[in-house]
Amino acid sequence: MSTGLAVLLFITLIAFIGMALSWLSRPSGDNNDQDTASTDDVGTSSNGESTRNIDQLIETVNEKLPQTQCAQCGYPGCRPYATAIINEDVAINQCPPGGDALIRELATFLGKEALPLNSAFGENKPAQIAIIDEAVCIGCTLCIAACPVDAIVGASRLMHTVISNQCTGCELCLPPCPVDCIDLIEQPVTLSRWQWPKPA
Amino acid sequence: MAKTCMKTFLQRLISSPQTPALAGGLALQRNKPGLPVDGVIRILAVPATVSIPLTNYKREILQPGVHAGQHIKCGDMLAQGIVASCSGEIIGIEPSRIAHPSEMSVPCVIIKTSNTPDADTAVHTPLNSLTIDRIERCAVHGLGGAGFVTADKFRASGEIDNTVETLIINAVECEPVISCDEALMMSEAANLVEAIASVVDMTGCKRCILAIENDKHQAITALKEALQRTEVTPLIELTLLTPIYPSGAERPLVRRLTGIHLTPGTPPSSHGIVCINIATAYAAWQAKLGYPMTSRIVTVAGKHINQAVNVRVVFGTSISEVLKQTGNTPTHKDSRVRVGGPLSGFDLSDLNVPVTATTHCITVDPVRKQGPVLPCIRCNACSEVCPVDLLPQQLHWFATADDQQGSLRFGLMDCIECGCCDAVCPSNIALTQTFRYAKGLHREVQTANLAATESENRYRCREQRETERAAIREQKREAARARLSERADPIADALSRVRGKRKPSPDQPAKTSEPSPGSSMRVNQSDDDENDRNQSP
Repeated sequence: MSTGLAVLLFITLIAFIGMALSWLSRPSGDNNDQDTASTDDVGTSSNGESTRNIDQLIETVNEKLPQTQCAQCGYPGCRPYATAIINEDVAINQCPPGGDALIRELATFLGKEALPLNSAFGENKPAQIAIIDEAVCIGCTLCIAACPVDAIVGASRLMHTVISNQCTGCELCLPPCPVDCIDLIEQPVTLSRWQWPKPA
Repeated sequence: MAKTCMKTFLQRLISSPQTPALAGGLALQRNKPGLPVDGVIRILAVPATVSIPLTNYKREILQPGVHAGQHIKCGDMLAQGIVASCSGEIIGIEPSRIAHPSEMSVPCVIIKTSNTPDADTAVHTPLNSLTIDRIERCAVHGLGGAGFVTADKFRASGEIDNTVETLIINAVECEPVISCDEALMMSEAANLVEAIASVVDMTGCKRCILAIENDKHQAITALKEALQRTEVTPLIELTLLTPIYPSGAERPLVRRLTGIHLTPGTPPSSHGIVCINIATAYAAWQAKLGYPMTSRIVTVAGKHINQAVNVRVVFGTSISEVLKQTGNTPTHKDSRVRVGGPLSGFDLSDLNVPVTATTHCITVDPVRKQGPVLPCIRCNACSEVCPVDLLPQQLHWFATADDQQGSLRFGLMDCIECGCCDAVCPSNIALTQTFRYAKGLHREVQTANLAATESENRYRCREQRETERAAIREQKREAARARLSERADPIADALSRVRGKRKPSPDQPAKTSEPSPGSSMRVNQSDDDENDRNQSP
């Protein structure tokens, strides 16, 4: 008799523990973990919320993009590319400045396969900046119009120059220059940018 | 086991009753050569040329406010926060190597010193009480090793709540060999107490802790004697600490003295604390008397040194000149010259670099024969000695794999780069250097992220601007189209416009003098059109 009671009690205890555990591990509604979000999550709830979720996804993908605004991906800037990745399911391996590191990051975030960088869009290069040969510049303002981040200053028929710490090295100023006076150089290592090398 | 525990407990109880011991650290043998036997610090002669680097502790390049060929006096501003260390003529502003682990060149002001030495008179008028502006004007920098701008330290504490609760005077010089502060305390104790009193006076602090290790007997005696003779004594608490490396580092020291744990990035001023080196306090007092900070005491020591000394060196003197004048030019083939202490310093390959506020020690030692780097055996020795409670062996794992999130989770930014873990590692792993590298990488990523945000903002602004412009253009085009469609017959309209413009011929005077009302209206209208066209871009 007492053995039977003990068994019954034991079973009840196990059941209670199970219930408590399931209650503890239930998904919390308002806690939206960004790093595990994917496009599949979107669209299950109401329309307004799904648009907001999509906007949030675009925003997060855009934050991961390098913001060079170089348009090498085939879109006019980083945000349009982020929008296309989310809305049109465009491949994530079209950003040469981001390189493989970005592809890995996006692949983990979006739950996609990490393909190697598509070389049709360009190749990953070390950070570079544009420099204008001021003696040759004729002041045509074409590069100013082409610069996606307003990093070139100058006026019509006056010398132009690149604000070097705002230049993203996108190369978009190169084609419009009629006198070919813009060069891209590797970003120089100044004392403030110097870092300790990795020990061998 | 119990016996050793009891023993350590008793030791700790006896050594420092109020202050807790450092979490880790190394109990290194006291090794302080170069202390002045006669109590006088030698002053090094000013060399023929001095070279003042135009850079600050943030490693920014500063714009010079002087030009080549200019004659300057000692204490004149060369750039923001940088003064000339002696009088003379500027013979050039050119890139030159500096004493920095990168061994990079930065623009330096090269001064040909005048033949007549600077008279020992004050540059500025002496003040009754010290002010932050005077400290700034005299370019006082921290002499502890980081070279922070002292005026900024006091200003930061004033900005937050206008009060300095605790002023910590750091006289803890825990690294072996370095003895410049101890030498200063031994020779100028009375002036130092006056200096501390003037800083206390300026900050209006409620508490002033003068922290010093308990094995600096001569310095302690001298300071105690001097303290008895002044009136501010009750405010200045002389606190003796057990000599453990690195108790002189700011964050561990603040934690040890006040119990406040400073997270990386938060300055002590956010807790109402200002922590300055004792030599910095002395320099601030000199500023009050009218002398700009133009020199510092440098320890010259090491195994390949003839005579270890502490000398006062004018900023801009090259390290080779310091070694030459003290009779210590390296003669051995296998010597290495190091700036900073044996644990926290770095080796130099070029001795022609100038002494600055951060150059507290120059050592010449035989080249270290480092054994081969072996894999980590997880002996845990590094985490036992870490003064900031990190797990260096774990951190190393993440740092070598460039895993930034992992490194940050294991407290990478808390690392004070003291080198204790390197000293105890049986596998010769370059832990500190790996952490320095990982920190650099993290900062680089942060800068890149900041730059990305900024460039995105600029891109958005540009996009918005372009859209607005396109909208305005479209509006104008629409308006023109609407005007055109209003007219019944554009061809007749154009013809009449041309006719209206034509010069009146002499045989048709009536037409000009008496135009029909309809045509005049049309002419006016066409004029309006012309104006419109001229205005549109």
